[in-house]
Amino acid sequence: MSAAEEYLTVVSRGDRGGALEVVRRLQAEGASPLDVMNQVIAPAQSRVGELWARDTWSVAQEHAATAVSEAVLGLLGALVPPPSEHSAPVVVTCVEQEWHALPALLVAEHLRTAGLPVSYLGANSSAEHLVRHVHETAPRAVLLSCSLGASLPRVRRQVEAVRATGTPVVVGGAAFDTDGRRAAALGADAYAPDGAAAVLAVRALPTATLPMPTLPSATAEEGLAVQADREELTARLRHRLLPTEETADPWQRVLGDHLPHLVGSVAGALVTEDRTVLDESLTWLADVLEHRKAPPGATERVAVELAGVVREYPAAARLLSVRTAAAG
Amino acid sequence: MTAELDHATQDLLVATVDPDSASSLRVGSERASFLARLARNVGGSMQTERAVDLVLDMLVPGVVDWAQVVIREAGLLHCHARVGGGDVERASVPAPREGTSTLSRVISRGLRELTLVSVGGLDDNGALASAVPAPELRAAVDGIRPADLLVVPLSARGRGFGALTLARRGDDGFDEEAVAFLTEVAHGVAVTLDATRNLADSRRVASVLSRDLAPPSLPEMPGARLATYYRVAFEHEALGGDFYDVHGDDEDWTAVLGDVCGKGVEAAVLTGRVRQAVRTAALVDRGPSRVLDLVNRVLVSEGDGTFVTALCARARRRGDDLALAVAAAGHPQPYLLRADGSLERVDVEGTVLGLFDTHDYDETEVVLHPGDLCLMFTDGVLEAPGFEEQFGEERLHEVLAGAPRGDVHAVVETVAMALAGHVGDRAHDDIAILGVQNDPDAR
Repeated sequence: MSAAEEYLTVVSRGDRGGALEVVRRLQAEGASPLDVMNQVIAPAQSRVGELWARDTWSVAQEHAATAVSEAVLGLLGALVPPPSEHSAPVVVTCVEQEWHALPALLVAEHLRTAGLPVSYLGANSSAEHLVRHVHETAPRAVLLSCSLGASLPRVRRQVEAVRATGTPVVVGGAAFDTDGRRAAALGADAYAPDGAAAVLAVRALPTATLPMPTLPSATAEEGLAVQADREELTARLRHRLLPTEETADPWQRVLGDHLPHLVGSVAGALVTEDRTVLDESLTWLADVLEHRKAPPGATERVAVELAGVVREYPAAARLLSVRTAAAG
Repeated sequence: MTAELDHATQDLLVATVDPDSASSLRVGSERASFLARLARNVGGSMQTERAVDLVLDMLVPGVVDWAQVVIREAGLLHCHARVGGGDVERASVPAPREGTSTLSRVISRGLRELTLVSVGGLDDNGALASAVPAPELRAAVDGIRPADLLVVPLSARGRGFGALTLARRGDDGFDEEAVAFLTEVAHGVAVTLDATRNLADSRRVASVLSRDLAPPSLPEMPGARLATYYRVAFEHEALGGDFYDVHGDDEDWTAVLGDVCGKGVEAAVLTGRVRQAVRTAALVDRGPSRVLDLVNRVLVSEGDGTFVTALCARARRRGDDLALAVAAAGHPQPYLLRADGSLERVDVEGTVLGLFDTHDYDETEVVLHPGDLCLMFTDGVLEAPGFEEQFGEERLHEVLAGAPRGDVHAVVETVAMALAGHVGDRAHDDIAILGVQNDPDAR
């Protein structure tokens, strides 16, 4: 069993001691804190998400595993010497309503290891909170992590808020495409797929950036409208798909939880002008539903009802008509 | 770098011969739009260096061939300069005695000066040094000689605090109109930089004063795990009227959570006083009813009509169990989430603090077996506004029933996630949650 697999096994039990043992052994074999992060913790964490999607792991196991990895990262972080560069800190945080803080924490440790001072704000930072922190600490840059396509409209709002202070913004996380097109569409100064890239991106940034242009395209503007109406749209979608309160089946519960994200990813696809944001969300949903024994065609039905719900938004309707036409 | 320098389009300083001609209208409107862009680009930056860089970016090479922003502070001149296509260079030099150089004269008198720096000649070098005091920044100006130098004061609130120095190749020069326009630019820059410096000072004061008002990071208590969530109504102020605190000895400690009337900074000041009163009271007698009684008397004696709701719990270890004695003052009852997933409410009541001179707060004892947890929260949780209705008890029960067991952090985070999703962007009250879990193995 590889160290990564062994690590995954112990964190699935929420076994802090076991996780530390794996890490100490790797360190004794000469692995640096950065090696441990890249080779064990990061891969384990992406497996955790997959295992939940396949219904192999419970939410509790997912939480326990994440808690252990965060604790291990904290201990590894303590081994990193204090920053060698006496520059303003880099703020690392997650966009509002993003609770998956581990990717951001990994990036923060990468930056620290590279000698950059870091101010880590953790999960779920609102635009107001972030801007206040920027005013207080005058950071060199802000790194914004986002893993859900549905959170992309919030990324846009936060990039806008931070850039208005002249502070450059780097974005990263699973919600972005590796070519950085979504990042560029949202006005980020740079995109970083991982911690190493984040270090390079921060070093290459200008000291100051200009505010974003105020008017996005008509499509992006519609994305913000869908975002503003998302609760109404989600309620209508819920009414069409899950009309009764009785959602006893696991797949219905998961579907119910996912509906706000589905509407959010329509908004995300529009603000980034990238339809694959929605496609990815539906593909993920199909995978999750299949592993929870949903009836065949459940995801197609979701797409059809979603199309019905957003029909008054021309660009959103186009996104879904292309999709349902392709499926049908 | 030189290529860019050669092609700098400096239409903004073009002389307009006939004031009624189309070209002079165009230049006039471009100048106005430059000033508007300057305000927009630089106005949001609340940090001096960043604002300076943005100003230099806009001026070079778009308007002039070289520019320098000098700010006088505590006996030093902080100089930032940029030549077309180059990076911003910085240097600090001791401020010369008043009136002994072009720069110090401009700063202290608040009047602009125009100098010609031709090629060679000791006098010219003196003129250059007089306007560009940092030797390492002079090389860039040497590259564009012969040049005209314009030094414009940066002043705000009636005092000069710096200067904007601009250079153009000799042939181009600065005519009267250009000088008037650049004086406008300097005025805009001065207002922004002054606001930025002023704000930095206020923020420093505010952050020192607010340090004691924000919720503290909690100590580690042996045998227990603590988790919190805190969200304020006025996020831009970052301070609110909800509070929590944990203090005491390893074997006998106090957890308190409460809500003072009002929101924002005013409320936060009161939370600081209440937390102090609780700490002081707990030193005398850790019994929660005694603590609330004393805090009540303190608040009543101050008699300013403010009131506070609170839960106070005293935690003591009893073998593998953690015994909690709980007293309440007009506060939502705490929940017990048992390790087996069952949910109970702690039946405890009492009058709000600060209004009545009563002395009797009841205590209820609950026992947390290993893995059990007690969840204290403020009414901001139940009253959190949503798309159709408030968050409410029913939803809270539902969320707690579905929360992962065994880890108080995960439970509090699950509630926080549900709340954040429910509230969205709506205005909401302050929210605080404090979870205490019995974990005999926790050290």
